[in-house]
Amino acid sequence: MSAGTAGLAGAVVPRRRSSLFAAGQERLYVMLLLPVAVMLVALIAWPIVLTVELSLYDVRLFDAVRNRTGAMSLDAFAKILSSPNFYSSLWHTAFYVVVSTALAFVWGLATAVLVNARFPARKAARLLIVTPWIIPSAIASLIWMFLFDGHVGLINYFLMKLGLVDAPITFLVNYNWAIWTVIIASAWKSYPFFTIMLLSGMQSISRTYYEAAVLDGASRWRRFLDITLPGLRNIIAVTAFLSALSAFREVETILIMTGGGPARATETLSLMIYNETFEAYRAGQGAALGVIAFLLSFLLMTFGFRRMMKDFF
Amino acid sequence: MAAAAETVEKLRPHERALLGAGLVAGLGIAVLPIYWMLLTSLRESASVMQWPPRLLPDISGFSLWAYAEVITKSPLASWFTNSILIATIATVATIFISATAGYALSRTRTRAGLTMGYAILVSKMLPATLLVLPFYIMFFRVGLLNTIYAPILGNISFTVPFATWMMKSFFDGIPRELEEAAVMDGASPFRAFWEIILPLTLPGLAAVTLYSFILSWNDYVFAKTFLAGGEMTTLAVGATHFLTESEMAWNKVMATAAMASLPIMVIFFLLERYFVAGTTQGVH
Repeated sequence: MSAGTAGLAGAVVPRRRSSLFAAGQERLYVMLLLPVAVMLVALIAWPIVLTVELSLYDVRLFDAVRNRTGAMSLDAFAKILSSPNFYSSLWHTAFYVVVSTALAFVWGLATAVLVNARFPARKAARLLIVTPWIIPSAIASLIWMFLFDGHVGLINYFLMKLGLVDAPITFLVNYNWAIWTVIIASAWKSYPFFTIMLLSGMQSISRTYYEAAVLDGASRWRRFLDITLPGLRNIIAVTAFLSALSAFREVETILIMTGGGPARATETLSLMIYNETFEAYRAGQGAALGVIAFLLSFLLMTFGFRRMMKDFF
Repeated sequence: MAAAAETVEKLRPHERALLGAGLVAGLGIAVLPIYWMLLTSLRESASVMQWPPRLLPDISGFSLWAYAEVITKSPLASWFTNSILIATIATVATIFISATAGYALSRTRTRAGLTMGYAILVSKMLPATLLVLPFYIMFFRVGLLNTIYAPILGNISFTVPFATWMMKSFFDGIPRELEEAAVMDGASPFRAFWEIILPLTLPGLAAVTLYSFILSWNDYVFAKTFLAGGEMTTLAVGATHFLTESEMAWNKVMATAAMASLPIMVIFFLLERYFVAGTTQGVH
């Protein structure tokens, strides 16, 4: 059955039958939404309620898994808001999210432009350039840990070879350098998302613009600035938003590479939640941090939300 | 026309040099870490810890020692089985939930449906660490901790919102008139969905399958937190077991890492177009 005849059949249906059709369809939609509704309640809504409840009891993890006793209080929140570690984790989060997303964007745009050009074996080059995307982030983190190693790491070898440093730097345990190791590892993991999105965006810009610009004698650089970039504006906004959001929630890279250290130098909000709960066993405070993170990501979302909603519906 | 425009404008020599240099840098950054993982996994411990490191492979130095060591002296088989079971079960559940939900969300015009879409969108953006603690408590209470169902459920909470979003946009591309006509011809609404519409979204289902499988396969946090370790964990977590206070066995780490990432890389190279379709579909 082709779409053409289907359209014709739809057009000649009398009004009453069409509304009957709609009623039958809506019943089906409700049924089809049941599985996802169950999942949303059990695996999203209920955990959030549980987190909020936990945050009102300043309990240890061992007590949290059993039934809690004692009165509700805002003690956990008070402890967090008076802790300097919380404010430094906010700063680390902002730095990590902004810098790693910016790096991923710049490198993603550069590689997208590269593989959009014509050259032999372009398809193979495209595949290889986006390969980091598919490497499990735990594995990528281990590889970068080894590359940044202070004794036999390849990066130290190159730096010494280039004469930039005299002795190997122990990047991962260096208070100032550690954050850069996790930023670079996570930018390496996330730039291919930009490459793929921006490349598909470039391919959907009409060629006639470029043809006209060539006739007008516009240079390649001018064409990039005046046609390509404006044409990509929406995709850049959405991709950067999604990428920043995933950096905000990122925990695996930092957990593996530095565990938040040295001396909490790489502890982002996401990591602090994890460490408070599963390293320090302060479940109540971990939950309170979770509530704060939830509110923050909610703010971030409303920030970029209008665009997302437009794409979704 | 399009091809003509491109051939008219040949690259000038300096542009060609720039393109070449860019490609070398781009490919180098993408591939060098993976190359280093493979090379390290094929070296014996002494040559891994050698300074200065040797960048090129030397045929005589190749050794499968690390692989043999990992396969015979660690619970690799068990890690592999767990990884495969977790990723497969999570994927099957994700396909079922997201295909039904994606279709309903694509077609419904009721307020409840739109609210549901909004809820899914919001849950797609929750920080995973936010859910780890409540999951831990929930799974403890119902006795799921240290079973593969704990990471499976964790992964589902993450893949379903993604996949539903993707499926919805694939369904959006299929005209409504198709199922209207089928219903007019006497099919039930469900049969119209199941037998006519669903088969048309095969590329979408393929994309969702690949995505869910890879996201679940790549998970680290859920498996590390909910499983006890030792035999009872996954490949991604198992790889970290060779980094201890007493020994940093990088060749064993990289051998496990290679075994965790090579299957995924092969799948990716074979089915890349479905990934790209899935990724770009979700955002346009």
